[in-house]
Formats: sequence, structure tokens, C-alpha cells
Amino acid sequence: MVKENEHPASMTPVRFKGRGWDLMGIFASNAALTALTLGIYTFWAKVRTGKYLCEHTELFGSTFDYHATGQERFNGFLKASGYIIAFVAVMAGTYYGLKEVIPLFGGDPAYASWFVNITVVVTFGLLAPLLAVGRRRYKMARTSWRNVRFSYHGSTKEYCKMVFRSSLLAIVTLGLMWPALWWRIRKYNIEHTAFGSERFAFDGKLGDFYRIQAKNLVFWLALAVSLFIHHILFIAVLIAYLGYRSWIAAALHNYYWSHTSFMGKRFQGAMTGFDHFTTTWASAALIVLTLGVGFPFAYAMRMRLIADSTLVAEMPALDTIVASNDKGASSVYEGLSEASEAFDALSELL
Amino acid sequence: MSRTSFNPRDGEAIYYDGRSPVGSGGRLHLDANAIFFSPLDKSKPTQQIPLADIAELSKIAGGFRIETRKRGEDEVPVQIEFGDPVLFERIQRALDELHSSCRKRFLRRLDRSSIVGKLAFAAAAIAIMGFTLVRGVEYSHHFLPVSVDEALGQRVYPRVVKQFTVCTNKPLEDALGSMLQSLTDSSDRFTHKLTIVQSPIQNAMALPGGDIFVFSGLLAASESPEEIYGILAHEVAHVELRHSLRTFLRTSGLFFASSLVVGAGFDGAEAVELIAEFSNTLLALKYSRGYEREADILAAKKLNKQKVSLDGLIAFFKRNQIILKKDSGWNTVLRFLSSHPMSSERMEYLEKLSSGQKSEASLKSIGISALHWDAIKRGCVN
Repeated sequence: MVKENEHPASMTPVRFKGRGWDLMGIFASNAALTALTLGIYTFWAKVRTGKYLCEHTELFGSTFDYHATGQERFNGFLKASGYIIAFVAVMAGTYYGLKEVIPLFGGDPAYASWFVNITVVVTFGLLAPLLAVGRRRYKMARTSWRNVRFSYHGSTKEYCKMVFRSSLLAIVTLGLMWPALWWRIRKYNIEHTAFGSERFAFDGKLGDFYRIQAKNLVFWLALAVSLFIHHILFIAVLIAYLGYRSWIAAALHNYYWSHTSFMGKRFQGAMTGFDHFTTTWASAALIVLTLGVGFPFAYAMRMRLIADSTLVAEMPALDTIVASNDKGASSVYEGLSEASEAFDALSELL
Repeated sequence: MSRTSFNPRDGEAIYYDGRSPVGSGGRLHLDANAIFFSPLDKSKPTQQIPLADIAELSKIAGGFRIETRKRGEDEVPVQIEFGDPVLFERIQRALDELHSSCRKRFLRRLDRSSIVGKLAFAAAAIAIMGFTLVRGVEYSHHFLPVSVDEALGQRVYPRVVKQFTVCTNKPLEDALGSMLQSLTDSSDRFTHKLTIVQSPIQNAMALPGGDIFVFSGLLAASESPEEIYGILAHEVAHVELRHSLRTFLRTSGLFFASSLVVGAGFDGAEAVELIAEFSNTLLALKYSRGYEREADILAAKKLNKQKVSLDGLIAFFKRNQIILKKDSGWNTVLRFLSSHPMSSERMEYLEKLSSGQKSEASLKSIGISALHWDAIKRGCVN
């Protein structure tokens, strides 16, 4: 953890003040009620957890709040399930229709399956950016600090274009530009997030980001080479990578936060690789040794690590901020993601 | 106004109007039907909030928070944060009296119960629902027609055949065919079909719906036709008892039950999901061992009906047990992970079943001589 005296004098850390035992209590109630309601309570359970996490995360002495409701998220799920069922029905109809029609024109009925598969892949490919934007918009619109909501102003069209261009570039460069896609998404998300009437800013350079990612690349290359030399060497490199990943993750956390600002007041990332390493492996040991029961404690450790290593320079001029409420934010996107997961699990089972 | 902590005693509070993040300090007190916020700035009026307008009262880090109900589309809810635990208790009690639906009372009681109470409630709920789901879903096989087994088998059959080379050897097929025929009778719900495949594996397996695969390695390793007869009886029993369908249903119930509780309400619980998946697999194996025992018992009944001794089956398992014992110390782990019962345990109940068979005099051979069997059993060994 970042120690109090390690912070620069003018910096204030975000604080997570939740307790592992409280999270354990929430987890126990959530598990019991979700089991008794055959899964329906899961929407209320998520809200309950989100609310606790926000209400125990403090910045400048004030805690955050989470305003989603279980009912709203359940409704989103029901609507989304309706859309997915309708889509599956249309695709099934199209498949059986084409299977009959294609042979009439002398074609192979197998093309029906090709057509449907491609349509499904394209639809879900297009759905991914839509979900990313919609879910973030909903999450931000339901989060507040000092009773003023956050908001997200990303546009699906811009997001789609960005993802499409960057993905194309990544494919052309044989994956070398994949990190640029992550960077662009992060930059776009930060710059399109606002607290009340004021937006956040990001001034990170892609070159600096690549310098951090280069360490990942070096390890991937070392892994690939060692695989051809000896399996013991491969395991040694893998262990070294698993350990060093913490230093990379800490550097990324610090990079993102140190280049983020709000109303000219800069944030700062102060995570050390050692903090990340000890938290990650202590959490993993806790989860494994307790057969998963100690999971809420590991969750609290992780929340504390992230919060305590995120600092803010000073309080911005709050009196110039005017609250705004994003009425268009919808829980349907969150529901679509949950419904897709549920349908995916169901189809895997069958 | 910012705070690091509230003075817990004097009713100090901060009022956020939802239009600006700048709060106004003041004092909070509770009356019979409303709470009152009196700003420190005396030029501002006291805010009265009826208890019925309070949407939420919650504990936050270092204090408590009240949020008002949103009355109209454009109305912004107000939040008041305070630190007095006595005032919190009083407002909570007043709200409890106001909202007294059964569901809310139950949730409130659960929320305020100790961690031990919550864990005990969770353990009971998970045990009851887990048992009901796993057993209930499995029990549903009674309501599913046998055509479901047949459809499942038809789906799996080509995939199995694709993995092996099917052997066509007339003498072996005739011998095994006649054994299979004698093991089935008019009361059986399924039509059994035999496929011999070339493989050194010493095993046989049954697909749902009636298809039975026998591996050439098993035939070659057998020392008498009675051993194979016993194993075929065991596989027929699996089909008749619908074990494949029941395994599918039971595993589905198990995975559904665990998906409900694993990381309930928490995002990013992948590590716990992994552990749960591993535990589920172990549990599924335990159930499989139960099915093996069921199949052994029904096989014994079938052999008994044909007046064929269980000795062949027992001899085969005994030989396998010796082979296993000769192997490394990993055996205990491997046997624990096996879908079949521990060999010693299996021997015990098979011998018990054998001793319950009719007297030796009434037992008969299956009509294939040991000599003839020795001549044909390697017919499918490549």
C-alpha cells in the first residue's frame, strides 16, 4: 500500500474505507438471496455491492454514491433478452428460408449456414462498441460524488470508427499496433467523461505507453523463444513474467492517472510494482487457501490498492461545476451484456 | 464544504442539493414525521423533509447518508450526510415504522444481522437450493421420453466413430451380438447396438439411447467370455438406467446452482469461478461413481436372471485392481479422480452380490467355450 508519508505534500489519495468483513456479509446475503430467487436477485446483488464500494470510497472527505436500482437493471436484462430472442428467431428463420431457396437457384444449401454465421459475427462485432459505450454511459450516469453525477459523452459512431481503424491497423502491422487500440480507447473514455458540467482531460503520449508495453513484448518474445529451447526455460520465463507483470501493471496505472486531469488539477498514480505484486499474490493465496470463501477480503485488498495509489493534486473549484443528469443512459446495454453471457452459457451447455 | 469526519454528537450535517457539489453545513434533527436541516448560514431557510420522502438511509465511510425520493422527472434528489449514530438509529426506527412490508422487513433484518447470522443463512440457503436444483433437475428425467436419450446418442455417435477405426469381424460380432441379445428382454426400453473399435484401451462404453462401444483392447485382455458378458451387462445397465442423460441433467443443475452463488454480485470473480469449476468437476465424478454402482447392481440382476455367474466380471475388475496397485503412488489420486468406484469398495459390493446369487449348481455358462473365445478375441487387434 502507499504509505501516508510517501505522498507528495500537496497530493490527496482516494481512500477505500470498506472492510473485508462487510463485503463478506454482503456476499453471503447476495449468495443466499440469489440462490433462493434462482438468479433473479443477481441484479439487486450487483447494485448492493456497487453501492457499498462507492459509499466507502472517499475523496477529499466525501464518499461516492451509486444510484442504479436492481429493478432498473432487471428491466434492462428483460428488454435485452427480448432483443436477443428476436434476433435468434430472425436468424433461425433466415437460415431455414435460405436453405429452401438457395437450391432453387442451383446453389449449395450450405451457403445458408455461411450467411447466418457471418451475419451473427458481424452483428456481435458491431454490438461490442455499442455495448462498451452504452455500459460506460450507464455506469457514469449512476455514479455521483457530493450528489453530482458523472456522465459519459462518447458516441457509438466515433467509437466504432476508432475501434475499426485501430483494429485494421493492428492486423496490418501483425499485432504491433494492438496496444495503440487500448490506448486510444482509454484516452477516448477519459476525455469523454465528465463530472457535472466539467470534463476530464488526458495528455498521455502513445510513445510513453509503448515504452511500458515494450516490456510485455520482450517477455512474449522470450516466452516464444524459450518454448523452442527447453521446457524448463519456458517455465522459468513464465514465472518471471507472472511476477514482473505487477511492475508493468503498476506502471500502466501510474501512466494513466498521471496524465489525467480535471479542471487543470492533475491526478497522480503512485502504485509500486511491489505493492501490486504483494496484493495480487496475497489475494490469490487467500482465495485458493479458503477455497474461494475469502474472496471478499481479496476484493477489499484490491480496491484499497487501487484507491490508495490514486492521488489528486488539490480540490478543483467546485463552485463552478453545475450538475447535469444524463437521462438517455439506459440499463439495456448492461442487460445486453448480461443476457449475452447467460445465453452463451446456455448454448455451451446444450 | 469538505470534511474528513463528522462530530458524531452534535447533529452536524452537510446538505447537497444535487445542483452543485458545494455542500452547505448545518445541523440535522428528527421530529415526529420529518427531519429538519438548519443551515449554519442563518440567512438560508430550514429544510423540512417528510420521512415519507426519504428514499434511502445508508451507512457510508465515516458517517451516514440520507437521500430523498425523486418526485418528478426534473426534480433532483437531495442528499444529507451526517455522523451522529444515535440520530441514525432514531431515523432508522422511524423509517422502519413507516415502511413495514414483509419483504422490506425481512431484508432489513438480514442486513442488520451479524456476519455469523448472514453466513449461516447463506449456508442454509445454498445447501437447500443446491440440493433441490441438482436433485430436482436430475429427477426431471422421469418426465423426458426415451427419444431424448436416442436423440442425444445419435448426436454423439458420429463423433465417437470419427475418433476410432470401426472393426468388422464376423465371428466376434456374432459372439458379442448373441451375448447382448441374451442380456436384453422385452421390458427394456432401448434397442442396443454394438460397435467394436480398434483401440488398446481396455474399456467399453455406452451412449444414451442404446449404442455400446467395445474396445478391441478389452476383448484381447479378457480371459473368458464371461468377463465380457459381465461388462456388457454393466453397459446395458448404464443405458437402461439412463445414466448419460441423468449425468447431463445433474451436471447442468450443479453448474447452474454454482453459477448463482459464485462471486454473487461481484464483478471480476474469475479466480473463484475457476475454483468452483474444479470443485464441480470433482462433485460430478463422485456422482458418476454412484452411477457405476447402480449399473453394477443392475448388471448383477441381469446376470442372475440369465443364471450366469458374476465371477467373470469380478475376475476382470480384480485383475485391473492388481495392475493399478503395481503403478506409482499417484494411484490414490487417480483413483479418487476416477469416475468409477474405488476398486476395493467395488470388489466388496460385487462379492456381496455374488454371494447372494443362486447356488453354483444352478449357474450355467454363456454358450461360448473358452477355446473358441481365445480363438476369436484378438480378431480386432490391429
